[in-house]
Amino acid sequence: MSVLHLRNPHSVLAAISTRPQDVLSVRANPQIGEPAWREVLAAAADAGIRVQSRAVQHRHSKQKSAGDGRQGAGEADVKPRSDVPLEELFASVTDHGLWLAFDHLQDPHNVGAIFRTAAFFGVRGIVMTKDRSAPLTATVYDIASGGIEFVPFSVLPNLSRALKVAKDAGLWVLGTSEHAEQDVAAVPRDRPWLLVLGNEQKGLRQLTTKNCDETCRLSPRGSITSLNVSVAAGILIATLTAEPA
Amino acid sequence: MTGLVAMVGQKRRRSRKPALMGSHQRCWLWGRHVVLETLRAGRWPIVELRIDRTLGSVIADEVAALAAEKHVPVIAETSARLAQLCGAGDHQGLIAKMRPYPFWDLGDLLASDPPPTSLVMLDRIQDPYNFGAVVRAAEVLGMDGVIIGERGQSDVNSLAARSSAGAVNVLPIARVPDLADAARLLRDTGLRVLATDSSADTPIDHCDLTHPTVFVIGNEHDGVSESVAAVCDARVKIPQSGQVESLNAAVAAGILCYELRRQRGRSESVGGKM
Repeated sequence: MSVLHLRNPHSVLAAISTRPQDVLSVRANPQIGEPAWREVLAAAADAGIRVQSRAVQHRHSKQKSAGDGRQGAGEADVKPRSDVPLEELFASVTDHGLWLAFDHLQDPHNVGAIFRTAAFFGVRGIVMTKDRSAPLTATVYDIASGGIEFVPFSVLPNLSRALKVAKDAGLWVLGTSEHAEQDVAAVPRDRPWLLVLGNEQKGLRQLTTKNCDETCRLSPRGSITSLNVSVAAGILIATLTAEPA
Repeated sequence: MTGLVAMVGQKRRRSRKPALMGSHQRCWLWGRHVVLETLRAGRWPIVELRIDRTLGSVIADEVAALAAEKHVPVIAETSARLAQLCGAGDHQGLIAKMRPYPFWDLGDLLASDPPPTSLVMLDRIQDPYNFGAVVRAAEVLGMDGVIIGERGQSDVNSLAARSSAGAVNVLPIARVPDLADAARLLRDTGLRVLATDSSADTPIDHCDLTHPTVFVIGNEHDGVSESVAAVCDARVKIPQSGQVESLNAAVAAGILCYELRRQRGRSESVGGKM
């Protein structure tokens, strides 16, 4: 299995706290004095992870920094988190809660930012497709800023099958479309939802839309397509997880 | 952090002339879509265009016509030369040498008619992608402008312009020497200035956002600086229900601005600004 080189101290901290056995080593320069990396070094030492206190020479120094410019003071080698079978992802379905499905999301920045948002709002699980989707690279982990460690996910060859399994498990499938009649705020909160997020350029595929139980939009109409996918997803997730008024 | 300047279109190779961004006088904008959009908008002055001489005639003619209309010279180059000039390979055959971005003066922004009732203030957003994405969200959600400081803040550069999907050509962006002074001025002008802070007690949906409002969004590393937060009217948070404690700046901006629109939509008459 490949190893990820993570550079955001928050993605490293989340991995240490949830699955320390998968964190192979941590390298950080203690002279930098970055508080988050000092925290990483302490947590790694507590967990018995190999720690090297030294200046970090990044292998791909030309690779642009992911996220917020905090990277550069340290690095960790971490095994990728394993996905879970779909049945397990939906095992905890009750009478409410939110799950997400990505319909060919291709930009790693969007995938990472949505994982971060999902973890912030307590989304219960994410379904992703294997092909034509951004894979979970180190960049995605770092942009997610720990989010990937807290939201279970399933990677599948076929989204249509996933939607069918979700429905069988008791989830309602919610699509987004600027032509939808109801605003996301009007979506009933008395049931568990699987929110399907479409591709950056094309939105939801027709086949996916056909499989949705309901569709919703943001107001003003049209903003759902003119907003960045991860920002639109943030508004949808915040609205769907808020306490009903 | 020195990466900010390095991420802009700085020349990679040595040249007899000084590096363009070294003086902060000019920079390169690249990518067909953002360059054409900026040219069309006519707000951010362009010194000259450089176009890949092998580009198809449809695009080349469009560029030539638009450039003539706007009195901007066009110089044909090889694709490799374009990459060398702007320092990026993904220029899509069209780059523009830019004059400094025309920031608004905050006083002018506040004096505009109708006066602004919804603003976003950014306290040191360093990443140009995040900066551009915030501007995009603010523009789409009908905010009246964005205010930034001079230190520790991403400039309006090619990456920010692209990430904003052209919104930097539409939405007023004011740059101020001191954010705390600006926050005081905004309060004195009658706007409510709200600092976002994950440890605040007040959730955003418990705030009345129908008053003229400014959201202050802080640096992802250390949030809104204390000197700015101290002069704000209140601290507010986006209520968290999961295990990650912070949101991406653009996502946070989107949620805040959407909540403001939602509240005002409810109180505005049908067919209003929404």
